[in-house]
Amino acid sequence: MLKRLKVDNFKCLDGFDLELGDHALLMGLNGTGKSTVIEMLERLRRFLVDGEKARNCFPASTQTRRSSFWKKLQRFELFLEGDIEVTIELTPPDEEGIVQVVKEVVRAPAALLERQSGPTIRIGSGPDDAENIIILVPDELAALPLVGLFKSASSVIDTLLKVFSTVSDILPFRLAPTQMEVLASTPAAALAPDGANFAAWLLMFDRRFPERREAMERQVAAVLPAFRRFHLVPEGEQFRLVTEWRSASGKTGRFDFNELSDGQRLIAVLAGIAVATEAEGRASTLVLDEPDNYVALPEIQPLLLSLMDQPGMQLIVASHHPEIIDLMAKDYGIVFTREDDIGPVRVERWQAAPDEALTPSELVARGELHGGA
Amino acid sequence: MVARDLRYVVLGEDTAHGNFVRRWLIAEGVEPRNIRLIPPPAGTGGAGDEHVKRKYPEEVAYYRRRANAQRVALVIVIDADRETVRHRQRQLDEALSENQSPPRADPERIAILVPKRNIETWLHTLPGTPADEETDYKPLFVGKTAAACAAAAPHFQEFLQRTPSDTDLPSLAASRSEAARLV
Repeated sequence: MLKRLKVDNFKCLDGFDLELGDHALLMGLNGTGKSTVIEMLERLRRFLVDGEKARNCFPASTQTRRSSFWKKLQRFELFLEGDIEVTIELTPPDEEGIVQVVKEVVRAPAALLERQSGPTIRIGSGPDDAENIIILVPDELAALPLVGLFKSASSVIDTLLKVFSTVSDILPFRLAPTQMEVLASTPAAALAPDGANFAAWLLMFDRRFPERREAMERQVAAVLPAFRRFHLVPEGEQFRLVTEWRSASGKTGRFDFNELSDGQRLIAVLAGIAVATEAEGRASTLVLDEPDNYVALPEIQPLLLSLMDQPGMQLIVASHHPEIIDLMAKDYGIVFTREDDIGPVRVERWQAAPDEALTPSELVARGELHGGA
Repeated sequence: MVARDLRYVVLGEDTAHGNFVRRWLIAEGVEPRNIRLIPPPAGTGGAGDEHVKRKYPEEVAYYRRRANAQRVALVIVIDADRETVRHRQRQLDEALSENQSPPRADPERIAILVPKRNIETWLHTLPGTPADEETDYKPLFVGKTAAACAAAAPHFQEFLQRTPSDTDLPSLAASRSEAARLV
């Protein structure tokens, strides 16, 4: 679970400090940085989990635009459940576009991973640990994704593996149903942020949790009553994702996944994520950018509640939709604004007056998007 | 045991009321898509009970327009606070009367749950902790009501199926006849 996020010098996020509870609804006018937070988490995941080079994840276009301090470091701090802190500092790209990691610190109870200088990484139980391990990691890469390569079974490595797992459980998605493919060739361990490889991911899900497939299908049917099953039908060296449906009157039909509506595909993928999270038995942070975009009005409340119902699921949603605002704002609303309209993003808890009789969405529709009313 | 094939509308004072009833209905086997929670007001103070009293006649009218042709039900949740369960029910009756609506009739699938002192009393006691109806247990659940509703709702289902006992909290005991309207 993500408890706090601090960011410097990433687009409009500068001096940005966001505290999170069990769930969060990111609220605000257009251009106030809600989707930027999700993009930042997506890039940070590529860097810290997928092990991509910093230059790919944080090119010059991700720097905050400013006149006087253009060459400032980018800084990201994650505070996670279990007293885990991850701090990353990156240089701006040089003339060849290379971005260097100048600071990488991972703190957890009884484990410390720290970049000393350049490629030198020290791993130990703390700053005074006499049995520190020193490893060399190119300064364009994060060291955290490489911890899994250690054969050592020390408690420090075990702890860092748990940290890696906790960071991996932050799942930012900007799902794009039109990009979702109907064919899969090889199983995919991770679902792409746009959900494009859902069919390949389902192949892997079936291998890991065959007994949970039915639960996933039930979850889809909880929102789309006529849905029955997914089928991965062999087709040459690939598999075609086909869906089976049965109407209330008993009429049946089979449709390729890409024949479904955008909303149906989105609901299927979200159900998959929810059930996979439960099957993993780990607490996940699911970050969704406007999940209501493709979903019919009667489906929004059941969909969101079914995600919030998942044990251990922290749901972070950016949305303008009144259904979602009414469902989440009162307990979890966080208002995004820009300093002086185009300056850095600032956040505060959304709150109505104690005796306010209108619904949250009605207040927001009347422009009351400020916190602490 | 409530009917599983009804479309339920739930009107409560606050998020916790809606959460609790939704979890209970799911525990009873109702499909989540057949449960509609009416958004509560934004205020966290005393706006909730006024909201229920104001919306109640509208929702009863909605129910009555459909009840002959569709399988629908209405569940109301309003805390007794320092009043009695009967007093809260009477206030709702009066809200109907002020709107020139007939009083709730026996066969109507309209259930009124009135936790006393408040929903947190039920959340506290249903999993097995002794409680009384005068103490305010709200401070125990700040920031924890969603998890508490999930934990308490299945116990509520069990409670409704158990033989009544003299030790049952009166407001919980009163909920038996209300839940029985939802068959």
